[in-house]
Amino acid sequence: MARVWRYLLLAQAWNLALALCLAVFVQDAIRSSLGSSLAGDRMAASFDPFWYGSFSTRAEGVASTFRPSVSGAGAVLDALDTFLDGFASVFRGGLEANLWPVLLLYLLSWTFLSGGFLSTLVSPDHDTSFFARAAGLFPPLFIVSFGGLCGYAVILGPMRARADAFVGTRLRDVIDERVQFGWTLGEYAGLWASLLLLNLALDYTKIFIARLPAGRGALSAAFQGVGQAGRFVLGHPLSAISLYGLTGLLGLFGLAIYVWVVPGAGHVSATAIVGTFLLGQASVAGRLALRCLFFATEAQLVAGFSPDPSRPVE
Amino acid sequence: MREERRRVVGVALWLVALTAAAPALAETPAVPVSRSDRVASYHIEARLDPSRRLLTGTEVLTWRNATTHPAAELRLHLYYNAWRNDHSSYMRSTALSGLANRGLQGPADWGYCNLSSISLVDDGAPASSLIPLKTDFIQPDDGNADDRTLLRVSLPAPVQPGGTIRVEIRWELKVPRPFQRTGVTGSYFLMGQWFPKAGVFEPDGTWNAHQFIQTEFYADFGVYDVALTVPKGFVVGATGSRGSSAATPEGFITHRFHAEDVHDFAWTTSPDYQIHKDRFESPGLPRVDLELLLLPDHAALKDRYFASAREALRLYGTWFRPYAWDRLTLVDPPSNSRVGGMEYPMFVTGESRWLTLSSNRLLEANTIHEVGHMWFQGAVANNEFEDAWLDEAVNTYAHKRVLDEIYAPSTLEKRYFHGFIPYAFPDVPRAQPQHGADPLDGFRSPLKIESLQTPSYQMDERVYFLMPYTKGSLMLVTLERYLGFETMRRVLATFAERYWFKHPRPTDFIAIVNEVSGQDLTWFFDQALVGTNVFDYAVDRVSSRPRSSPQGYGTGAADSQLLPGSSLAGAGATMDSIVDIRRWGEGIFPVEIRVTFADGSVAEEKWDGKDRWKRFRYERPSPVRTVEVDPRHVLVLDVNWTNNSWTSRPNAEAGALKWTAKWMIWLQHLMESAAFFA
Repeated sequence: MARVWRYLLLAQAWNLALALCLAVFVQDAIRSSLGSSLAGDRMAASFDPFWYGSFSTRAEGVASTFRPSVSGAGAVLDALDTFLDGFASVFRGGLEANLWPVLLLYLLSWTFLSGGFLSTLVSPDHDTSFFARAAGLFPPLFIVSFGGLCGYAVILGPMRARADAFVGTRLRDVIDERVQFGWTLGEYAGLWASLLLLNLALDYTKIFIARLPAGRGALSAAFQGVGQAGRFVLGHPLSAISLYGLTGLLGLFGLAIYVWVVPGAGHVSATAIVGTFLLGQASVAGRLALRCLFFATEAQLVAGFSPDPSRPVE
Repeated sequence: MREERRRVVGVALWLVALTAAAPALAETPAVPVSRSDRVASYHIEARLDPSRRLLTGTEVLTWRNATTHPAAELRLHLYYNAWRNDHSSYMRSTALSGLANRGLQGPADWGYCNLSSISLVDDGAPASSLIPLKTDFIQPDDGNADDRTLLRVSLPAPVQPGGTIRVEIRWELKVPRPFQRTGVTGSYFLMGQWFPKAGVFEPDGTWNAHQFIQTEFYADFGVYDVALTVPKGFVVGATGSRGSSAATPEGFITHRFHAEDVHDFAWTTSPDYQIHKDRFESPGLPRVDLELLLLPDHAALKDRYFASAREALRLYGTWFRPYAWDRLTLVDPPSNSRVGGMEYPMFVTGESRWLTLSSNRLLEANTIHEVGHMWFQGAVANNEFEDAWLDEAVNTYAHKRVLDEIYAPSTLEKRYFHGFIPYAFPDVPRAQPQHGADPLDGFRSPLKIESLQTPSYQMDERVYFLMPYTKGSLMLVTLERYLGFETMRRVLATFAERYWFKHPRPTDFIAIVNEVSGQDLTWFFDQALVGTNVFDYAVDRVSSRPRSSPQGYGTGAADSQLLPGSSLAGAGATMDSIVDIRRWGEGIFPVEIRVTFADGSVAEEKWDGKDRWKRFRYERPSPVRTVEVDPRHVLVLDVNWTNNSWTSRPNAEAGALKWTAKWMIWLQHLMESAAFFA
């Protein structure tokens, strides 16, 4: 992990830069809407629901995604809720649909960066640069990511539709909200167990691709990675799932702490604004680090069973 | 002997007491005094088969012609035919608003009301002498021949003025899944607008009975005696007082209810209900027995239901008039049943969730609103078909007033995970719809789509709820802030006093507003009620500059001399300031303007708001610091309150920076979530 810190900072900077590009539009929209009115004072001090009522009827594009629930813990809860819902609001044409290009770009860029991180974690003594390794691994990782997206789409598309219909039928005549909650929780647990298992398999696929000797074709590497990962996960299911689960729990714990400590909308001073922003950046950095931690621990697990990357795992 | 003497004395005292009380007893009427005209009364016997979702029943309608015109026919509402098929006017209307076929999965979900016989009943005559009556469905509102929600019943002979007829109607109801506040979910039944019900024969000799296109109602007052037979184990709650309950040989239970001076009757039944009882008592107000039918998952909300109902009874009772009856049934519906938030006389349905934060006021707002309808709809029973805004606007205004009186201002709350998990944002204030028209802003403001006085069955579906509830209450909040609460309270108290158990029209309400306020407010109602104008006042331009020494040619003796002129005046010089206030909207309303100067001095101005703009000039030692149009936010109908203010030190940059920073964190987390799929 120590070797990837500076690249994590780079990923953070990239995340921040993308957000900044869009934030310019949002800030401009808010600023021009506030104009010379006293609503500016109210927004600086807290929040002005009257201003927002007016703003939300006129905001367009990226600015239309602004809402008061982005404040404080809402930033994480909103994003997690969208995530848990499989970004359905993006596909259904909700307000987040205005953000799909940047989400897709970020997704692609992470596919690229994953190569660099994985290569560094798997073969730390490699003599080429981080970006050269990332570029080298990008083609097979892209194929794997694309395949993964197809898999996710099947789970969040047809599988979810069937699950919704099944649960909907079961709950149709149920009036007890606790029972409804239980069924919904069960549905989500089922869907997300599938998604997480697929994600876990893809993680190991990427690790095995990174362990492959250079010079193979992208398609061949991808397929070989899938095969090796499949054999590994099936051969060591308990270790793989436990490690994945523990790392995930660690991430959730970190987010819970952030939700607990982050200030809401009531702060006024420049110091508080900057402090809250930095705390938010720390939470994003934490998630980035967690992503690498997944790779690092999984790579370590694979290495534990097969120290020599050139030999297939038993 | 002593014992015997004591008995004799006791009997004598008892006789004396009885004699003394006799005049008082003689004055007590055997039948309670009718508070309403009791035009249409019903005796209903109905039996529910939950497994088939069928309700079969017989009703005897006793109808009196209270007009000076003979009535050759009756008109009956068969509301359940609104859900007979997708050709009904209701379903066509809701299809336009995107609400049709919500969750329909098969024929079992549709409903109907089939009549098997309609007969005149002669008192004392044997059943075989009943006369079948001729009927046909009519569609006075939209001509939709497929709509069967209004039945015309031709009578063999006109009912003469003052005459009474009794009509026996046998029917079968198929209970649908809830479309609008009535229906069945599992074994939970909420039965509103369920029985064949007479329209209103108006004093001018015409029938006021409309098809069921929107969920609004209008009916005569009467007495209801209702016997409901349901399977054993089903708990029943209904309009009115509970009478006896008796088991039938088939294992059913018949529950009897009696209600006087009501214009409708609703009931509910479910084996899951738990019944809780409470009593409202407050100095100076009559006692009211409360009954709450609560579902097990909402058990923790029991006290909140009772507390909010008591507050509504107390404040409406104190401010306007005491509650009209001695009982009130509160019903807690399932959150997925679409039957919440409805009022029937002496019977209201609430709205709640299993996981509800203590700061969330949805339950309280809804309960207070629906209990408030016992005043404005239950007792002051306007024609909702035609004037839906009257009770909804008045009551939404009043319930908001109660909420403001009791609870802290509401803050933002959001529900996550399919709406199950609530999360509060205690430092993000939230404006209720009645607090400002800002969300209705824009060139094509929704406020322009429809006039508030359009009858409900003709109203554009897109703004059906916006108009009577939001715009109507915004209109009345504006009026309150213009006239003051005490005047507004007296307006509503007078309205209740004068139209208690009657059917007022909007003109009656406006007349009372004018009378109580001592002002002719027609100009306001013409704009806010009749018209579709939007209101938008704004600070247009503000400038302050130091006064310079005179330049150019002088006047009088010095008219040919060039004045010395100078650069800007020095310290302590007068500032010339102008403030332009503009009326962007078509609506006209007098507004106050508050101008604050840098030295802290304040100028308060008044403008009739009629012209398109108005300029105010000031010669003061300090420049203008802030300008506020309508600083007390009287005109909550103003669609953009943000442009009502101006400051020389705008804080837009800080406000935008702070909130954009938060939005960025949100976006960054969203991107990170998306990266999971990379």
